[in-house]
Amino acid sequence: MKSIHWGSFKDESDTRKETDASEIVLPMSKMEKFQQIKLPYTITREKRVPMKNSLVTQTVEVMKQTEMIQTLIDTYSTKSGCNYILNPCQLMPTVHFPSSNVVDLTRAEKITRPLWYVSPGSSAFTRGDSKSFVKLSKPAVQQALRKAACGLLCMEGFSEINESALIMIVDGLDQFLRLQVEAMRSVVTEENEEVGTVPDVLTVEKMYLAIGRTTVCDLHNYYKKLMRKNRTEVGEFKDIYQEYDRLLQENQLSVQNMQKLGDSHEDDYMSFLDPQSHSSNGTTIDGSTIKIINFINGESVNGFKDILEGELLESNSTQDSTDQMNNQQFYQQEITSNGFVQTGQGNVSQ
Amino acid sequence: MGDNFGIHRGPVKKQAEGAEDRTQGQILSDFLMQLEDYTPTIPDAVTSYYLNSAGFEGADPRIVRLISIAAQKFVSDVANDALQHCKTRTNSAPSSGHGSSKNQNQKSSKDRKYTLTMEDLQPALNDYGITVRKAHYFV
Repeated sequence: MKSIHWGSFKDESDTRKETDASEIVLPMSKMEKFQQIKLPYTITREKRVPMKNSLVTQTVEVMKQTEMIQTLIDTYSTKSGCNYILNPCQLMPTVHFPSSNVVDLTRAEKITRPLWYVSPGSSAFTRGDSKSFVKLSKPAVQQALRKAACGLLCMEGFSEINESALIMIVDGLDQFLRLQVEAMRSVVTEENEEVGTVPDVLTVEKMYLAIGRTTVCDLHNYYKKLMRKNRTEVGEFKDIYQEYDRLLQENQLSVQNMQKLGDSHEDDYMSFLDPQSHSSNGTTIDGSTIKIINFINGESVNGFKDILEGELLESNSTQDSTDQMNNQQFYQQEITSNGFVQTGQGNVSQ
Repeated sequence: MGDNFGIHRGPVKKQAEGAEDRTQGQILSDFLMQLEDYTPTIPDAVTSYYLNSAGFEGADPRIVRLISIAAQKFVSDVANDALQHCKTRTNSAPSSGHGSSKNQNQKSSKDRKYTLTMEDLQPALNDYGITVRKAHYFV
């Protein structure tokens, strides 16, 4: 929409054109230099605000990874007290986590020790040297608050949030920040002191005491709580990863064993044809054992019938022949009583 | 022979009060210096925006970071309270089905996913002095 200026000439003799918000206005001296240099890139007004908090990011990532591994364990193992693989023939999937989510806390020992045990080094930050920050617009601030709130909510234990609740908590955070700075302004006003535009730590302490009725040093305890939460989550992740690793090894071992059972060696193959032959490990495979193996493998159609006919009962070569006969007759009498016709000794048919 | 064998000791109470003040101030200054390693979730630029809105300059990065961490603590406290409200409301709801064992209850509470809703957020914010009234057209 073209803006109409109340002071503009009606005959449009005003040759100056209105500058857009995205254009850069340079003084003439710099304009000449800028044109001479001819930079390979164009200068834009795009600003980037880093929102990096390694502690919160790592904690949330570790929580998600723990949940993923727990889901895998629940899917592929039983839900009893001692987990074991449900289906030994099915390979469990392996997961690989990126090693990039590492907390870059260079001086983490400051969190564990009391404040007065750690001697701080001298830097521009510790000296309080002035620093300029990027000027943000209201939408950018709202977006940053939204992202910060979501990260903190994930860390506390929420997995989802309603859109209206997200709007509400961002508004609440915005209100709290305004409350803080307004409380600082009221503290300065009540003291009737001419304070510059840069607040000091005493003003902040009085402000925080007025709002929260506690000292600012409680924030140190809050950060210790965050570190403790991070370590708890990392410890829980390590425990569950060990359990997952154990199940994975067990699963791979069982799959390998199943594959070995399925493999047929040449000696064993030949022994199937000869009932009295020896297997590869030196033991004798007799006819009954062959029938059992064939029955399990489903190779023999009459395997079940053979078991019923009692032929497997005469498999042991050390057994007395008379005992074998007696056993066979007893078994045949039972079959006869069930409706089978005895055609001969040892032969039964329906 | 004197009471304190010639050892002169000043008034004990005044010394203690002075030591307390110095310690409190010393603790605060030490804490300020350690803020360099405490990276808050809320960026410093956002806090500087709010300081500018009240007429302050966000020149001292320590003050800016202090206010950022205070705001972060506020969100954490509200979220924690809302989670407690959510858990209380979920546990008090009648459970359907057969009676479950203690292990199953613990496991189900661990696996349960919590959703932040207006019902839980509203009382949590009210406890921190932020009155919220839910609009009729909000779900």
